[in-house]
Amino acid sequence: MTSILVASVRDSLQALNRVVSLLRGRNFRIDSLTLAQSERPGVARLTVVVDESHVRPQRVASCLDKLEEVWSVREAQPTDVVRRQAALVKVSDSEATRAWIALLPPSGTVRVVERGGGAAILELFGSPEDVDRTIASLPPASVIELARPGPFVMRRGARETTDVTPA
Amino acid sequence: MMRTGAQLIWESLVRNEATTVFGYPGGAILPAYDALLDYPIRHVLVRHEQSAAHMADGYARASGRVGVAVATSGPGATNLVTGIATAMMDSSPLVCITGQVSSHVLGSDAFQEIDIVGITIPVTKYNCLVRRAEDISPAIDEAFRIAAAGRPGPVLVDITKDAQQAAIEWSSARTTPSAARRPVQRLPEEDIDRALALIRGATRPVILAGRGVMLSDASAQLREFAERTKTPIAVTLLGIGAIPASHPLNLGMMGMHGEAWVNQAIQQADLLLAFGMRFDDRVTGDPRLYAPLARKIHAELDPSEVNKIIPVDVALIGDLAGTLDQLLERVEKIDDTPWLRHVAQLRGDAAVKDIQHMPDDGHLYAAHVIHDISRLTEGRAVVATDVGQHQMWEAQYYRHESPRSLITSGGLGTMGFGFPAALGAKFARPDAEVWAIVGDGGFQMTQAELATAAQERVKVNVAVINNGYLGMVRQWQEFFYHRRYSATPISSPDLSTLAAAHGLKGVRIDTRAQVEPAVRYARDAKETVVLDFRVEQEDTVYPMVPAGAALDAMIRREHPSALAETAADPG
Repeated sequence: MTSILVASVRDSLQALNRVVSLLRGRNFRIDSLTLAQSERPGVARLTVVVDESHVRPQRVASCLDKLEEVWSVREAQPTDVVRRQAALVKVSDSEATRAWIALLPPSGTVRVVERGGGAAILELFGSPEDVDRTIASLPPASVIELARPGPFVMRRGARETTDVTPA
Repeated sequence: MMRTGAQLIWESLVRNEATTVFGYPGGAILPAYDALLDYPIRHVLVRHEQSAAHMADGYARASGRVGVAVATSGPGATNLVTGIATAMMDSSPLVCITGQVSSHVLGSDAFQEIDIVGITIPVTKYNCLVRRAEDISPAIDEAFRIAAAGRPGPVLVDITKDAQQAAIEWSSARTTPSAARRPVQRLPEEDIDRALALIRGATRPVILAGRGVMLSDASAQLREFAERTKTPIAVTLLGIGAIPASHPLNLGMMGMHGEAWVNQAIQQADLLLAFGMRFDDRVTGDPRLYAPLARKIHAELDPSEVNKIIPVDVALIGDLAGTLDQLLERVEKIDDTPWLRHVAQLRGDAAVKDIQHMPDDGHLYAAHVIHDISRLTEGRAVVATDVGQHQMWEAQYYRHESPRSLITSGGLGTMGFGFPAALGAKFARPDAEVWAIVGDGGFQMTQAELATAAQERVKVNVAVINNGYLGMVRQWQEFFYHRRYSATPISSPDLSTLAAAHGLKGVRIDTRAQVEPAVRYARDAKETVVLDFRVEQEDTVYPMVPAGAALDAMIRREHPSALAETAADPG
């Protein structure tokens, strides 16, 4: 089981350093961590996928919340957010992969970005489960390379994802 | 007006009401030390930067104010780290200022360059590198605010040499005033309702009082709450002093070396009220076996401490004094309870009334020494201890009557802390009688600060509980490693001679009859005195809960007649 924490943090390497140091030092297991600029200058958006079987997400959130560089942190509830993930997959150009690509629906999770040089680069986009399923369905041993940042989420409705003020 | 960055450092410290700083100069902090001469700040030159951090920590713990340590880049900064970590683990407000190499050589492995910001990330509440003079004042203001706000802790500000040297146009209007130390927030009434329901339903409650009581200045509320609800109070090591030792509801210290009846009371309780404590493993023993019958209420400022080790039924997240005020608005007064009589019975079974009158068997025991110091100072001295057997004996036998009177490294367990922390405490409270009670091992780690005591003409009393062993490690070897005393026998220099070499006084004490005159001599002396108590070499701290055992699975003294297990008065 995983849980997704989203935080607004100071947009700096120091903030990333502190967050990673905390996760490592407290022995919190995570699946992924994504930090990128947000809609506001100086504010970065941090998304951490926590391994719930190992640590309570509330504990990770309360520890993150103590960092000076972390301004707001909230656990995304599966029902109140939209979850998405992107990935690039390079597959070998073989009989099997060509057959697999030929069967792709025109508007689905997968798009062929580029073909040539004995390989194809696929772009995957959808729910993390969609991306998982697509990768699992690829012909055996066809994957040469996988680039897959962690999932990201956005809260439904007008409130910001990291807004922790009581409703 | 024009100001250099170096001047702005001291102006910021003065503005934040720092009067004393503990430090050591060096190349990258030289501009600041040059400017220091023009500011009304007392600088205490330490003999090692670790001691500067410990002194600042002792200063902070004794007074509640922010302690300040200053060091240069590289080794100066890294030497602070143990002291910073000590302060972090025990929530002590510290501002550490370090010099850094000039910004144009940052990252080039310049002479005495080290990434101290990177090194101290896990052991600071916050830290930052300042490269521009105009950022110095805001950074130091912020450091003082963060160090003292909420759950206190250390903050490090690393300032490049060129930022100290640069002169800029500066107006004091550009400073940020410190925010209130603790925001006052009322807890939701439904949280209070749930807590009160548990309190009213309990017949065997115990309060667990920790350092949060001191940090929140909540001693008066704690006492009122306990008296009104007739709830006995067990204290953590860092909670000693939260309630006077002489108070009838004060049970004494809990945990690994806690009094037997305290641990038994906790294991038998049906409600634990944890006030400003964090269920450290030295307090709980095996958490799965901890207080199995009890519901738990946890009043704590730091949400990340709640449900960390022990799951609780009600969490009251907020400043403890405010939480207790809110509970006191509604809690009813009750009369004597069978539970209190039962706890008194537990205590009576284990305690010896007064070890003062136990027969002298010719041996000098640490318990006698500390009991006599406690008796002669009437429990009113500020005592800093080191870490080990003497620390536990101090906790058991010194009867602290006031908050902030025991200064000890609990979380990190830092040997070498006691003596410099005592010096720092004396600077914070010059009118207080200050003792360092240390072991022969820990004292030798920072005994170089005798020179600081002499140079600064600061008077503390040092009681060295000298048993020729790293005693607590020896005790573990005795119990758990078949008495194979690997690397624990330790020799010391002649401490009287050592004191004399510093122009101070030292006395060696070998018998019980010599204890009281020696303590009186030290108290009367003008200068720092080192009392070298040559105690029983293989004495053991009892009771002891082995690591990972249930809290009431204590190893007890085999022959209670040899020495009281504890001196605490059963009342």
